[in-house]
Amino acid sequence: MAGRSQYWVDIHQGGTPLGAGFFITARYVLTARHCLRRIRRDDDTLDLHCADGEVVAARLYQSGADADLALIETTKPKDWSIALPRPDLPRARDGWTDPYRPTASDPYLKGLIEHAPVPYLCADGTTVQALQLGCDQALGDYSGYSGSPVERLVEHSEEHCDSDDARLLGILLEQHLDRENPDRASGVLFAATIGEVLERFDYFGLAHFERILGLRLTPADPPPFASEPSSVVEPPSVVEPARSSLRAKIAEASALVDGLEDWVSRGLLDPDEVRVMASRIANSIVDAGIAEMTR
Amino acid sequence: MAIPEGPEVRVETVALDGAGGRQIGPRNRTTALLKDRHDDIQAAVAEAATVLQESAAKLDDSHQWRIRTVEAKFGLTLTAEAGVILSKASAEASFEVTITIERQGS
Repeated sequence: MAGRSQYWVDIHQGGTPLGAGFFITARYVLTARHCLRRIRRDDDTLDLHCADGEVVAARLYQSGADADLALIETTKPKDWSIALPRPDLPRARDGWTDPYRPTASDPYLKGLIEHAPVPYLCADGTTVQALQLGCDQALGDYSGYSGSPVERLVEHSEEHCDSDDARLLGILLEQHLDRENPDRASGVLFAATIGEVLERFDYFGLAHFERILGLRLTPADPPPFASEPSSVVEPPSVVEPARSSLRAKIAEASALVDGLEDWVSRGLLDPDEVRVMASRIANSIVDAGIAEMTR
Repeated sequence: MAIPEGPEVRVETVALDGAGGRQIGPRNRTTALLKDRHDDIQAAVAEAATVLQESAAKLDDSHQWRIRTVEAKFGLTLTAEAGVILSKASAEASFEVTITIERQGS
């Protein structure tokens, strides 16, 4: 539908719908770990039904050991024609919206951010930094929306913003149940902040981008894979001058992020704010790296 | 009692996720053959009836009052894996059961 973000996916395994997720980079999809509870133990291959109709093969890449989050890796590149959202910082009283709905007969959700960020104890016993969301649509049961993205609602319009302008705030995880009638959900939902996501997966750190670009400035351990990872894509051949230039850029970025983290440790900057900035810096490094290698 | 052969009768089951309904992944509708869950249902109703009978037997009649009947109403939900959940009667339950215990000689 025009005007709505198209980066979300429906995750399936063997024809069984498992839940929602969304592309957080061109190759990786974020979802709630509990959506993958029924995944077969001997088979982690998945089908991602994209908003544009394409079905992309994928596999579980990393399951957050201490958070209800999981990262899925596409096994073949998607025929990429959709814009990715930009991570952003939530503020209490901002409007939020979800561009995903489980079926065509379900409503889109939107409302106001009531508290952000707030430590939230999830049903699986883990604690995440979360957004407490008031939802305008009183469904009584929000099952099927887990793993979908929470975006900032554009103030001048009730409609979702265009994909190009989408500001990603978090990932929907849980509903709050009515205390008097626990069979029904209250109108309060909880979503992990995007800062929490960036913190939980080392994929979003600079060290990962260094590995991908073949420039090892800092030694780093590989992530704890849920299963054997597919091979990391190394550049086929990198021209030495380009490597030098990239090294300089990464060194500069690393120093910048170290500086920001120093400010966090001194209480001068908000940690979530720095994670979002670090993610943007890392993405710009990758863009620069790809541009130089394809020159 | 043998159940006569006939059309396939299925009953809706629920998956035990341990999250108490807070997690909002899709709730896949699952079913099982009713005849396959015959023993589960029978055992659950028998056990609930026994508890109720024993409770009624322990009731102390005093002050010239006598309790003649005890009634309990509950929901019976079949789990997808195996077993039955007894709960407050609700829309989630597969069956709603009412047991009335009447004292002998009343």
